[in-house]
Amino acid sequence: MPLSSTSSSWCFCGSSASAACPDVTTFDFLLLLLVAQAAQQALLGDDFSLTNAVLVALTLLAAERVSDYLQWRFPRVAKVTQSVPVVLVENGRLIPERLAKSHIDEDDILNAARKTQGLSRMDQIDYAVLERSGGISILPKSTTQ
Amino acid sequence: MNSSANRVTIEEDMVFQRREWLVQRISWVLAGVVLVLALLGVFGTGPLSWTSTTTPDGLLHLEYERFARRLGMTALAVDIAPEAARQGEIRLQISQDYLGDVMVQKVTPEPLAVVNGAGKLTYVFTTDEVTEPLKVSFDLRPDRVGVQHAEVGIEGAPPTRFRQFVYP
Repeated sequence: MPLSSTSSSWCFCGSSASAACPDVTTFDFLLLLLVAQAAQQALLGDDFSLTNAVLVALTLLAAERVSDYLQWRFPRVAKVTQSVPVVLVENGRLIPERLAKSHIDEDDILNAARKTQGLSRMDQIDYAVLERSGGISILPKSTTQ
Repeated sequence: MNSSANRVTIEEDMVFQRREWLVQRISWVLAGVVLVLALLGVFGTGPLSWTSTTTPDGLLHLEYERFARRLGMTALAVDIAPEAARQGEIRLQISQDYLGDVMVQKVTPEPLAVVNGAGKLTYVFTTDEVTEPLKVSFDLRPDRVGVQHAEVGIEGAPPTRFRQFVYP
């Protein structure tokens, strides 16, 4: 899962350049590694025992399971942690305000259209949606009409 | 909110989305503020953190950090005027409450002896007839989160006090 998805609601990295492209970029990867490195020291402290490693891993797993359950049980929580999809192109028309707020431009949409649908022009696109995962999905005109 | 419900099902929620964008931008600003504060030294190591104090008689000059971090490194630098020496000895006292909460990693130069006293540890240094101040440096590793109170002085002279905040 790309970095942008989990962090999008957590406000810092969300809707950054990676939001336009759900692939993990080199910078995303680097960021992930460095953040993990920085957090690892604080999580482990001076205790390098196997017991501590297992306990830390268990704690993180438990946190993940609990948040998964809360997201399933309370849709409101899922909205906050995973955000909601945003329609960027509606009936073939760009919605400039939403593009700007999401830091996405027409090129990103065309890029996604080429990659996922083999489309080359804006007028072939009926809908473009910025998904919760941070990727852009494209609905071509033919399939929705 | 779902203007396209008739043709495409997208669980859009622009009210929520707008709120998220707002929170996002506020967070970016806050993150920027935190970074600036960090550069200034509010979280330790920076101009707002470095400070110093002197005893009323001017014999001791301490340089310390207002802000330190638990299990991080910080230093306490003590400048001791030559007049503080008694019979070739300088007896520097530091409150044990403080020393109990910051682990002393190293004292440079090494004291001749460390004497346990009532609530204080006395570090004994020997000097010849010198005119230069003695510079003693304590490398510390704070082990307790919160405000720490320290009292440092020369034996028999009024001490100086300082506070230090230790971040988790």
